[in-house]
Amino acid sequence: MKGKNSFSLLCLVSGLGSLYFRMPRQLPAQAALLVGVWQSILLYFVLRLVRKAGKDWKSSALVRGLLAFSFLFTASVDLLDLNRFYQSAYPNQLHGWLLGILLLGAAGMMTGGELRTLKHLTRLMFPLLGISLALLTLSCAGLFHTSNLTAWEGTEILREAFSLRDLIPWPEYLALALWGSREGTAPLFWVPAARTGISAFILTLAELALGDRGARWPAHSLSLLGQLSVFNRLEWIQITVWLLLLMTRLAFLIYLAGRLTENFPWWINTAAIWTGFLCLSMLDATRVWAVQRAVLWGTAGIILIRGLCRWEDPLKHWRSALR
Amino acid sequence: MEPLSKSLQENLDWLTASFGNTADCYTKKIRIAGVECAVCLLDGLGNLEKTWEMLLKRIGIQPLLGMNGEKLLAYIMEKSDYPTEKTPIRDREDLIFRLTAGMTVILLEGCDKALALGTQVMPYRAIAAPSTEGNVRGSQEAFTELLRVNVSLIRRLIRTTDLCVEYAQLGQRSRTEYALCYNQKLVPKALLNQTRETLQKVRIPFLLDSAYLVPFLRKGPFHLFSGMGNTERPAVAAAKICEGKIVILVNGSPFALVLPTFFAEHFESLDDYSTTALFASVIRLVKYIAFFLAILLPAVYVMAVRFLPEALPYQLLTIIAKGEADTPFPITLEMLLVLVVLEIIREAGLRMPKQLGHSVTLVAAVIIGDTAVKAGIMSVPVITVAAIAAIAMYVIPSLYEQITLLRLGFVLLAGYLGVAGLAAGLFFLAVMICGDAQGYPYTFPIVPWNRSVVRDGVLRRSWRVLARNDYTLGDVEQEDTP
Repeated sequence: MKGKNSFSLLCLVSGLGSLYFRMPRQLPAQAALLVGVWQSILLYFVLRLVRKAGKDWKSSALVRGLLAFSFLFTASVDLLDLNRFYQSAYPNQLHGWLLGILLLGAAGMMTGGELRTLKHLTRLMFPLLGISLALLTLSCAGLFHTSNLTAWEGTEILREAFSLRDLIPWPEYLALALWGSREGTAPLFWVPAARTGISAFILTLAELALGDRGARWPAHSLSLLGQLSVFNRLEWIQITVWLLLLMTRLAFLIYLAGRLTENFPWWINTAAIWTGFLCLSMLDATRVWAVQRAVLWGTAGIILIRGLCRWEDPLKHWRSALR
Repeated sequence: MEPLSKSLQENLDWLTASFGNTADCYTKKIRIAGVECAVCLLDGLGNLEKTWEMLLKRIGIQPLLGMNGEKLLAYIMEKSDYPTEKTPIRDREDLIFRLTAGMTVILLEGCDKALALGTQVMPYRAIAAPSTEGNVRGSQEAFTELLRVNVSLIRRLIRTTDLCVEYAQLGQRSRTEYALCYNQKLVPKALLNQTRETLQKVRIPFLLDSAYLVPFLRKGPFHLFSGMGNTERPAVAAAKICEGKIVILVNGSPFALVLPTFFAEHFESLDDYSTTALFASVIRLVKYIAFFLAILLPAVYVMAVRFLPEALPYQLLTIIAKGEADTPFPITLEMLLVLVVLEIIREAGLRMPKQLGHSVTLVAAVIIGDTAVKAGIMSVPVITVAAIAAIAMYVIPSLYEQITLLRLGFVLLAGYLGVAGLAAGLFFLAVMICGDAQGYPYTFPIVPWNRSVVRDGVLRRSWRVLARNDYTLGDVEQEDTP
C-alpha cells in the first residue's frame, strides 16, 4: 500500500464523516441521486487541483495560516452539525460542551499517536460502514413498498437541488493537492461516488419505507423504522458508526492542522476547535454554513491566485483510458 | 571484562569474596599430575559426586616432567576423556557464568585460564500438559522452567538447519539466560536486528518471566494491545518460528514470547488446524462475536436501559423495570458492582489454596448469585448480562486483561454519556487495535485487507489450500508513511 493511497483514503473517510449530519434536504430519492451525480462531477473537478511544480507553499505563512484556520474551522462546524443533530435525536442526554470534549478528546488522543494508526482506522471504517448499512436495510426491509417512492416534480426542487450551496472545496482536498502527488490517487475517484451512493441509499431506504411521511432529517426517518426482534430501534447503531466516522475526520483535521502549526501541540488545536464550536453554536446554522463556504472558497481562491495550485486537465484520465 | 589471574590463590580469594559466605559454593584444592588446582562448583547445580568420580582417576597420576598449569590445561582439553567445554574460561565474568550454569570449574596454578566441565544436574519440573492453553487434539506438551529443556522441545519439532538459537543474559542482579529462537531463512532481518539490539539495551534488575521484556520491545505511546503474544506450547512456538516469527524463551519461565503477534491470532488455536476447515471457521467467527459480547454487552444493556428504553421490546422492558424497581442502586453503578465482584471472585479463585476452592464457589453461587438477588441488592437481568459477558471473555483467554479493562470503561462511558459515550469508547478500541506490532500492522490480515483473511485469518481454508500457498511473515508488508 503506497503512502499516497492511504492519504487519499483518509480524505475519503473524512469526506464521509460529515455526510450523515449534513443531509437536511427533503428531496425525493431520485432527486437526491441526481443532485449527488451533479455534485460528484463538480467535486471531481475540485479534486483535479494539483500543486504547481517548483512552488514552495510551506514558506508562505499566509497560506499555512489560512489552511490551518480552514481545518480548525471545518472541524468546529462539523462538531456543531453533529451537536445539533444529536440534541434533536437524543434531547437532554448530553450537554453540547461535554459532547465536544468527549469527541475531540478521543480524536485528539489519536493525533497524539501515530499516523499509521489513523490510516488503519480509516480502513477499518469501511467494513463498519458496510455492516451498519446492511443492518439498517435488514431492520426495515419488511416495511419497504415501491409505491412509497415519490417522483420529483417542479422547478423549485430542481433549482434547490442544483444550487451550488453544497459544493464546498473541503480543506483536506486542498491539503491533498498541496502535499500529495497525483500518483496513487485512484481512490480519490471514489470520494464523490461514495458520497453520492451512500446519501442516495439512505434517502431511498427512508422513502421506500415511509414515503413522504419521513422526517426532515434522514436519521430521524430511520429512527421510525426497525423490525428486528431484539431492538425496536436500530438507529443508535447507525449513529454510533457515523460518530466514529466523524471522529476519524476530526482526528485527521487535527493532524493536518498540527502539521501546519508544528509549534503547537495537538491539544491546543483541539482546544481551538472546541472554542470555535462553542462560539458558533450561538449562531444560526445557515449563517454558519455560509461563513464556512466563504472561508473555504476564500482559502482556495488565495491558493490559486498565488499560483500554488493549478487545475490538471480533468478529462486527461478519461482520454488516456479511451485511447 | 576482568581476566583471570595466574595465581590460583588470588582467583580463589576473588571467588570467595564474590560469593561471600554462601553455603552452596564448593571449592577444594587438589593436585593433578603434580599441579596445584582447585575444584569449584555450585552444589545442586553441578553434580559433586560425578565430579569426584572423574577427578579421583587423575589425582593419582605421577607428576610429569616439566608439567605446569598451562600444559595441564592443554593436556586435559586435548588428550583426556574429561567432558570439557570447547573453550577454556578466560575472564571472571565467564567464570561466574559457567558456575551458575551448573558446570564444574577447575582453576590451575600458574595459568590464567580455567577448565569448565559439563557436570550439570538440574532438577526440573516434568514436562506436563499446558495449564492455560487447552486443546483437544494435537500435542499435549508444555514448556517447563529450564531453558535448555524448552529449547530442546522446539528443536525436536523443527529438525532442520534453519532453526537458530541465540543465548544471552539479562538482569543486573539475576543474570538470567534467555534464548532468541528463529528460522534464519524466514525471519525478516530488520525485525531480528531490531529485537536483538533492543534486548541488548535492556537494563532490568532481574528477569523472571518473558513478559518482563514486553514493555522494552513495545515502542511508542500507550497501547492496550502489545503486539506480542505468549504460549506455553512448544508446538505453537514451533509453528510461529516456521512463519518467520521470533520466539523468546527465558530461563525459569514456561511461557514463550512470540513477536510479532497480530490481533487475529488471538482467535486462533491449535485445534483449529486439526478440525475441518468449515468448523474451524465457524468457531473463529463465534470467538469474534464472543469478544465483542464480552466488551459491549454490559455497556449496551446499561445504555439501553438508561437512555433508550423505547428501543427495547415491551416484554424485555417490563422484566427489566420489575428487577430495577427493587434494587437501590442506579443501573450503571449496579452493573459496575457486579462486574467488580465477578473480578474479585475470579481473583480469589486464582490465588487461594486449591483446598479452599469449594468455599469460594459456594459463597459466589449462594450468597452473591441467590441471596443478593433475593435481598434486592442486585437485579436478575444485570447478573445475567454480566455472567454472559464473563463467560464470553473466557473464550479468548489471551485477551483477558484488555477485555476486563475495556468492559469497565465501556460501562462507565455508555452508562453516563449514552450513545456518544459508546461511540467514543469504540473509537478508543479501534485506535488501540489499529496499532502496530513490531513495525507490522497489528490488524493484519483484516486491515489492510489481505486474502489471508479467508485463507487463514478470520476464516480458515483446508490444509490442501494452506499447504499450496505457504504464509510467512515476509509476506506482510511493513508500515509506510505518507
